Amino acid sequence: MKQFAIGAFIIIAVVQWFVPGKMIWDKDAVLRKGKTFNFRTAPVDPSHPFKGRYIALSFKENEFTTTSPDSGLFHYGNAYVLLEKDGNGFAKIKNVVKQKPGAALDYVKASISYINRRKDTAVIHLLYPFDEFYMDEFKAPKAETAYRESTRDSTQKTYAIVSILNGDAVIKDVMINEQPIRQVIRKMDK
Amino acid sequence: MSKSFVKELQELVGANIITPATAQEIADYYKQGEKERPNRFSAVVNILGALLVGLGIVLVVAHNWDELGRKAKTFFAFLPLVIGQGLCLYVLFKKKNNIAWHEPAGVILFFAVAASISLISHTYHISGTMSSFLLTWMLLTIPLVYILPSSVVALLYIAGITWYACATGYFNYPDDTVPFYYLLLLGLVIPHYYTWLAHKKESNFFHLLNWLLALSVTIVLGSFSTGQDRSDWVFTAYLALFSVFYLLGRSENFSNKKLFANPFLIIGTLGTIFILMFRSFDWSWTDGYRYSDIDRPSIYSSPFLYITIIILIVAAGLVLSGYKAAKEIIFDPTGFSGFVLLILLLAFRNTPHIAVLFINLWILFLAVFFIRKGALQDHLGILNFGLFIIAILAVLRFFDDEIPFIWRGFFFLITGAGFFAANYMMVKKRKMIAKK
Repeated sequence: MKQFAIGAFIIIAVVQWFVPGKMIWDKDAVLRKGKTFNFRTAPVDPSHPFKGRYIALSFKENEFTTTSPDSGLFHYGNAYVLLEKDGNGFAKIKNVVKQKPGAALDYVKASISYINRRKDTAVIHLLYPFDEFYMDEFKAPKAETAYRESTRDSTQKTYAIVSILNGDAVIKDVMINEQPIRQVIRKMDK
Repeated sequence: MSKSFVKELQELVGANIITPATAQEIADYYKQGEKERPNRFSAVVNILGALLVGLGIVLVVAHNWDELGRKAKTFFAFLPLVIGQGLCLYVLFKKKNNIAWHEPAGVILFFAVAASISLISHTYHISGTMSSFLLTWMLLTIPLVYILPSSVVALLYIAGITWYACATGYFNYPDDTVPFYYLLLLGLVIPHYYTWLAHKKESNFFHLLNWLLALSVTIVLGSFSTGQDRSDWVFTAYLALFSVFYLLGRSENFSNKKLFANPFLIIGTLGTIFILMFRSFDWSWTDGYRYSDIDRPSIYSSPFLYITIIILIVAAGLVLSGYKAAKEIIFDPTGFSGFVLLILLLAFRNTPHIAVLFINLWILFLAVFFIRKGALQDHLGILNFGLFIIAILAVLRFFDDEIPFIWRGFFFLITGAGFFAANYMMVKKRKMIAKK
């Protein structure tokens, strides 16, 4: 009985390592091999009881207007957002599809928040799986303020650098006028 | 054994009430008992300590150590896991049957898993929902309940899956998601529950387990309702659930327990009375229809109708098994309340006045049942509970404009007199018994 318990415990211990390990492995692969996109952000001090404080990001490129929407999209749930870069190097939605695209394309898995159907077009509103940027609990409120002020000010450029690989995404950093947000706060403190 | 107890034994020997040999036997008996549960106090202290340490680890991790690089953070993500798993392995090898060790070790590993997932989530800014976080956490820790085994982890697990169901079903507006996984997760803890039911029914852990299970199911049931459901059915399903609880509480396994150790009876009784009181108002029948019928096609298309029927089948099973087990059949109407509401809803949903009249009569019937039961068993608590039901019904009807003042007035006078008479007769009966 004791041997069985120990054997079973070792198995569960391995699984307890495997789950966080797999999370690291997947996300690290996105950072190492993924292609980076800069997502322009649009204008809370939220917190998660286990994960701590973060900045809630919302993106300007979060809707897509199409005249020929993929019919599967109307079931809502998840969708694949095909991406390209615009003239200024920021991420731009090329198309939104229900079926998983080929590996050669740059895409990210997102969920559909709602679809606004008009006469000839449909506007698909999207929720990206990378809308939380976690920070030190004391810095996060300041970062939130800096982030909010700069997004309100149209002369400032605020964006998130996101690495994308096979539909998965990891935020590398949040930038305010070409400076990482952590650096901006450090300057504010001085 | 306490010093005062030893002293009292010596006094009894001195007064020639017991012989020194009997005194020794009594002392030995209690010493043996102490040996069998040697470290209950230290176990409780260790478990509380482990809970605090576990929560502390989670909070320290949630600070989000920005200064640390990704590699250092990854290292620290696994550190609590290593400590927790190391402790558990030590327990499995060296302290297998020591409750003061295996419960705290389980608790620490339980929280270490949460800390580990959280650290990785914020290192990589993973935005997952609360429900997916809780689902992963609970699935990774349920085996500890059986392997160590740890009952405190089972309690934490039940709390965790309840939170998961709430995060999925209640706090996920406007998504109409139903937490079906809750049923599976609940199923995973049932074998553990049965072990306690079969072997350690009198233990405090078992009472706690019952309380948490009863509360968890009560909280979660409503999260299964969707936009398709009419509130009528949700209330009926709840009443059916409380009927099941009541019948469980009266069943062989629980009926002889003290009241605090019988959560099914407490929640079942109070829940039944609450729902019936709510449904005793005319507006609870008419308003529900006015709003809910607009875009909900038929009363039969609500999934909660079928959930209600399933719960009532369980209730019927409990009634039958109760009759089989009992030598003489004692009729108890409380457990039938779910059936009554179902029938009223199906038969009189278009004539709510009749339904409300029947509900009021049913509540009065229950109250009279409790008063009679209290009188027969010479139990003032039960008797007064019956009177309390009538009092509540009276207060509710006092504000009910639909009943003429004169009728309400008579009802109040009779009920008040009933209170005096019932208690007077009971006290008189007790005095007569005392005189004999």
